[in-house]
Amino acid sequence: MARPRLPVWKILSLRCDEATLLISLSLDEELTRTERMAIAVHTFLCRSCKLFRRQMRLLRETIGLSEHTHAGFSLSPEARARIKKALDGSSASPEAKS
Amino acid sequence: MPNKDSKLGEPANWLADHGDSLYRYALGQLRDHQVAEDLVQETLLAALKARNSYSGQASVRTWLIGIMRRKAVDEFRRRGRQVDAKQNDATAIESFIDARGKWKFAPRAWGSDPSQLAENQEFWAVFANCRGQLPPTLAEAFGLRELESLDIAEICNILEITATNLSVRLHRARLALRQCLEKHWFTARH
Repeated sequence: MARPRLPVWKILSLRCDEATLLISLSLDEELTRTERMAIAVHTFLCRSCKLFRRQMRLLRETIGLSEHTHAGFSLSPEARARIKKALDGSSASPEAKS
Repeated sequence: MPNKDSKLGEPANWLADHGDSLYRYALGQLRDHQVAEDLVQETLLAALKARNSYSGQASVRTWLIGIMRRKAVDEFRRRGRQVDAKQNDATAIESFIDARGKWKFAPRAWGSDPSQLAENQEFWAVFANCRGQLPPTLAEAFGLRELESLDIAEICNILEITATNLSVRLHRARLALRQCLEKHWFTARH
């Protein structure tokens, strides 16, 4: 999963689009030392990107806490029962494999 | 090494174990809860028939989502909607941050209490709305990562894209969703 190496000089000259890409990446993958330093320097100087990082963390924690019970994040009991019935009907009379 | 049958588990448990995941995926793509419910059923029925073709490489959930994804693409075609391309223009990075690093909607402080937010039904309604406004390819990547917590390799496998490509989609999805929440929730309330 190699990605282009971030040049060391970028530590001091990251733009916001690049910084947010790295911050986004940090939520999904292990960053290199250079990448982590570049984020640290940029967020020290840029309030917007610093807040962006906080927002992303808050959003992930909030989703983690929601247990997916809100806003139609899970099947309704009725739908579940209906699907179960359809599946039971099907496995009772197994069809030839496709 | 676990054999693939044991990995596949008991099909009778698929609905309980993966039903919500499949439903969320379908809802994110098709935006209609009835269509989404039907698709869950179709997918599980198809998986039941095709269980001999499960290779054992991916997790069962990844395999099931893969089956559902192909069905969702068919559904899109039936409705004459394009799954890909152009409609992503509005979420190009430049529409959030211009070349000089100026944010269109500068991020504000969102507070630091996820539990309070998580309990708020109205927040989730706004969240669902904002997610619904994302272009389908971005909503899809974001959903698999943040709602299903799949790892990057699994998502690349399902979407058949490279990790670099996925990181670009997630970046855009996060910027777009963030901006929408900023406008419709965090600014509107505070």
